Amino acid sequence: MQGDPQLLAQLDDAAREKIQWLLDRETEYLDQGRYPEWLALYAADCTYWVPAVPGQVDAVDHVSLFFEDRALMEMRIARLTGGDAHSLELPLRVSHVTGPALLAGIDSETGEVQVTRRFQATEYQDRRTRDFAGLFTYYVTPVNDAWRIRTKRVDLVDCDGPFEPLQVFI
Amino acid sequence: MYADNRYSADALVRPDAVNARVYSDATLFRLEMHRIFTRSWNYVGHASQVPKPGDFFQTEVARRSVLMIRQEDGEICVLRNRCGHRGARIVTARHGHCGVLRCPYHGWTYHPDGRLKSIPLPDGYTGTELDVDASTERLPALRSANYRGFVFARLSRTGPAFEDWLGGARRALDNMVDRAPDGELEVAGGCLRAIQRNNWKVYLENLHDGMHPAVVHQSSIAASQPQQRKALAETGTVPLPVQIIQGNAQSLRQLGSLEVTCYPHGHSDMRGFREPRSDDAVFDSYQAALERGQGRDNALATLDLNIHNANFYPNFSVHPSFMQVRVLFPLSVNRTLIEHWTLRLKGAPDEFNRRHIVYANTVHSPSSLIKPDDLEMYHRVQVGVEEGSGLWISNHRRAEGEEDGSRSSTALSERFIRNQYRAWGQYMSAEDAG
Repeated sequence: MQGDPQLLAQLDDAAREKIQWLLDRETEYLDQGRYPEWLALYAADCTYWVPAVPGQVDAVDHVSLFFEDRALMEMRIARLTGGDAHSLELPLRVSHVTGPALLAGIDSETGEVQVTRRFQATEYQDRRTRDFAGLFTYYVTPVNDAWRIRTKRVDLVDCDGPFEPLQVFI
Repeated sequence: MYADNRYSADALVRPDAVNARVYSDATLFRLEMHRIFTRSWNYVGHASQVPKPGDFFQTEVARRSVLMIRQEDGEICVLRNRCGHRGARIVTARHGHCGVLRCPYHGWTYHPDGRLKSIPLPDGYTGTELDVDASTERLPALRSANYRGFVFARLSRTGPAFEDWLGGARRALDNMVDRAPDGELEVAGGCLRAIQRNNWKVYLENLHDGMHPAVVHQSSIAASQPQQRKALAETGTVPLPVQIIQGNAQSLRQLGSLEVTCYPHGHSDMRGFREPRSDDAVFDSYQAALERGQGRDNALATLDLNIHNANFYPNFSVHPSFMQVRVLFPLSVNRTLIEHWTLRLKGAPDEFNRRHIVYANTVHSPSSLIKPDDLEMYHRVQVGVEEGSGLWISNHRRAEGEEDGSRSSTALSERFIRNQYRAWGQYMSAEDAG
């Protein structure tokens, strides 16, 4: 993990390694379609958010590309794995490449850690590929002796552009 | 050029079926842009998007860039966004503010009402054929109409008068405005844009189709059932996104009771399948605000008119009870852009307006659990019709006895599609006068 040395010094090596492992698994499980295991990396009160405009600060009074709590994430997973979605009859595959994880902040009260990393992802379905790129921002929180993702925010470079359906988590 | 009989409306449209070429023929698509989209009224934007003089909003009418601009006197005008000099697009921003419109190529400037303000080196045109008289040279203005904040424009000199075009379909727009406790709406909460890989008409023909939801949306209906059970068991109330998705699980009997009303010029609306009022504290506080603002009798009458959606042929569709606005832009014969906006009810509690954002995220966002299966079917229709002519697309359902003069039908009838093609035939058959 990279970042400001003073900030990094506030996390011990074990915590850094666990967070790094957590974030690496996060995209890897998405690419492998292991959605129940992917969701298990998230805290109970988790949020998955893909803003619809650059720098969006509010998801309540403004539309989003995705804005899901755990119940909606479970519902998306149920559809992805249900086997009865017409638009998923042909397999949809994704491959992520992620940049270095950067420690961006630590909440002194809750211990919650903010980590960002750049990503690119290629999606394939029905003889067509499309590309996604942008910044992941994770809010990672200690739960018992593990770390869990409370919020994942995905800022796409083309977030305010037009899209064909976005069926899988990015 | 189009005297060719293959492009006559009579050869393509029957009362209860259309030739597959109406969805797949690129020449016909260009003809539609000219004969339908330039002659009909197109929704341009909402007056709240340009609150102050000089504010502009850029959009497209019949594949031409246009600017909706607020004038000094408060009126709104709609101008072509193309310099009279070399034809360069003047503004690329989606919205903004201008004192003058200045072409970035050679610096020709125009007033916000489109009149030419200045050109560099005017004496360079002395003795030439170019008329640069500021009293006549201007950015062309489209005919425009502002109906209770909804702004429409027509590009062609010929076509229906606005009031005639809007007709009885206006009741859905009236109902939206009447739902605002302060009597006004404003665009708020951003825009979602979706690309569809199908002809624009495929989309319009799905909007009151009660036969598709149970089949097309089986995946999202099934995925929402465990969440519905869990929510009912744990809290006794079902989250709005789950309710919305479950709305597609209605029986044919329920859909058969949903009235669909057709209007001249291809418009139609469909009654809502959700309860007109919901039984919760947020709705109660909204209703109280509406009763304070509009009077109890008016408020109750407004809430009782429960329209699920209304379509204004060819480019505009609304969901009145959830304040959703959809604008259709044909990109090519097999590609369509839908822009989706949400309106805020002025004077309503924030918590109530937020439901409209949830509705937009659930139904109209690219990540919607509902929409991908719709778009998959539209695309499958598109690849099917592109496999060659000779195929006639059926619009027969519940056509028997239609000539009884009744305008009413239900969500199980394809009457609204037949109504769209009556308008299509009328627009496409009219002579090219201008």
